[in-house]
Amino acid sequence: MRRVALILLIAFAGFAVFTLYHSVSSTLTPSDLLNMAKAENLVVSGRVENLTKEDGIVYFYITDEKSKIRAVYRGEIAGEEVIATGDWNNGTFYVKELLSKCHTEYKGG
Amino acid sequence: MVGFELLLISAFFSALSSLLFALATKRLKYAEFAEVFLYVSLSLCFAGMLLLLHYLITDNFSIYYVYAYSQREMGFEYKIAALWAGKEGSLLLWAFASLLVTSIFTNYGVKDLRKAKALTVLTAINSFLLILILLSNPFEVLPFKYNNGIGMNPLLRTPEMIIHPPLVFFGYSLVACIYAGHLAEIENRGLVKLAWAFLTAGIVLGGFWAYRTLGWGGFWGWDPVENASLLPWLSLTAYLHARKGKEFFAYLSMVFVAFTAFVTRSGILSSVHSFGEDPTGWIYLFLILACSLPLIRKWEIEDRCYTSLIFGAMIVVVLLGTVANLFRSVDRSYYLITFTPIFFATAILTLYRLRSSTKKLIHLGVILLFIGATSVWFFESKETIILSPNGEVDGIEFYLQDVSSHWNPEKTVVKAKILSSIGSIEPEIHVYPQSTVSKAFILNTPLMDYYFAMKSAGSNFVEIEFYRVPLIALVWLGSSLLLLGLISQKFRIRL
Repeated sequence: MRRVALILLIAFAGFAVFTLYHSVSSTLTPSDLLNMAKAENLVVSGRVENLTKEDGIVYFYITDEKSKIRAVYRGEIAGEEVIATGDWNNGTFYVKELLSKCHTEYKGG
Repeated sequence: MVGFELLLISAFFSALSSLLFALATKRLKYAEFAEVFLYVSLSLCFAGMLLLLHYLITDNFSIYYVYAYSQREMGFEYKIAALWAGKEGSLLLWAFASLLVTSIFTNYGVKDLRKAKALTVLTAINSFLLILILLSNPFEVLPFKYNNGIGMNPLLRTPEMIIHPPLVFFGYSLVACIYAGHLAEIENRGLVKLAWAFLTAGIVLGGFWAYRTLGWGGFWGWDPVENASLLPWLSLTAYLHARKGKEFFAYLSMVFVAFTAFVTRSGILSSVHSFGEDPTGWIYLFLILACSLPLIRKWEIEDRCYTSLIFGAMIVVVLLGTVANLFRSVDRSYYLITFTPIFFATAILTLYRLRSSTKKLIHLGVILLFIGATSVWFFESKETIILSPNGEVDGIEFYLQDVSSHWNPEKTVVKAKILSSIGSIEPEIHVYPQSTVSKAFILNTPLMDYYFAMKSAGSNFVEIEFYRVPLIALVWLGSSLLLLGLISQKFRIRL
């Protein structure tokens, strides 16, 4: 019984690894994006800068301190650090979904 | 700089206490001195915490921590919560909780050689936490005094921020007690249940908070930090179900607590919870390694116990996903594909046991949680609607009656009043100097939550994110039953 349990667990772990392999994608930085021509459904993380708003559309930059990219999003942006999903086209990142970090103030002194 | 000195002396006495408890494992007479030093360390740490609280309440912006996390306009309750809103303050809370729990543990049960051994480990962990606080000093003084502070992140200015962190850190401190206890061959099921209750309450409250906050991915977003906090809970749950090999799960729970601290504080990954880059965060790797040492023992999987297997599988799924997240972004589909079948198996097994089990409420809670969570994960729908002033989604009619705004020193509140065929809706946007936060309005019904979050507004239009969240009420009901079941057991209430 103990052997069966172990085999089952190992088999499940194998299934999990297989699923995981097909579910991962890179979280990119603005620097990574600048090396790309055009791509869809990318996940980018970075700091929000120079935010302006017009007719419900937010124009801003996402930066990783080395470089920054222009971004556009329809909605509110709370917090300074974001994880954004969207399309990269003609030097602009069109954000479709955006997560705000909840503890960005944990920068410490 | 009195605060820093208080913590420095507290760390010194904690280390001394650990040393004396280690000596007491050979000669028990040293334990008396060790115990006194432990209380001195606790008192000094508490004094340090009160001092920082005093600085926060009195708006002493010459202290960097107060400047970074507080603001004159913030409410009194949020000035208290700011005590654990920052990396240094939350570590101080953890150290205090750990010292307090250690002191209570000292006086609980027999004071013998085994207790001395457990206390050696616990006081060593306390010393480790206190030394970490000294490295990131919450009492750092600025060269000049600002008139006002930056303030706590507006997203955190909610009642949950006052309760959630203390629950979690007291839970972690209790896990450390279980770990140290098992190392010294002291087994206390009551302590495990208490730790489990704290962690459960912390996770449920965190889920409720995330659900009400737009942009945090719903009640469970499979965020790496959320996942990491689930690991000690899963491990403790496995402990409570195991008949043999409990030590393994006790040790694993503590390793996962250290792992959570590392994931959260090292800045190694991108998460909605991550606390920014911090070089001292990597020191937690040392804690993980140190706590892992007892794990190099034989793991006994019980005969005919499927429960250990199921929790083992859950731990594998969550751990693999979280570790993978250190290097890559993991899609939510991974968790849905792997976790849902195990969750389903758990619910079936629980249903089977429901007839005979004395823990009916807890197991009923698990079943409801399963039904609620899976229906939300698979059937939640989202739409963006623009009202100017009318709009309609799937037969539900909306009419924007009014958009108003009012100002207070802390923020400007923009409020929309919308009439609809399912009820009156009043979502808000809170505009702070730092950022803008959308306050969701939720219409609760037993079968469905209608969730409205305002994205933008003009004088005669609003843009709303509209979610339909099926059976979310079962998530809260199931979670409440888990805790209620535990309390009813504790007080021997027959249900």
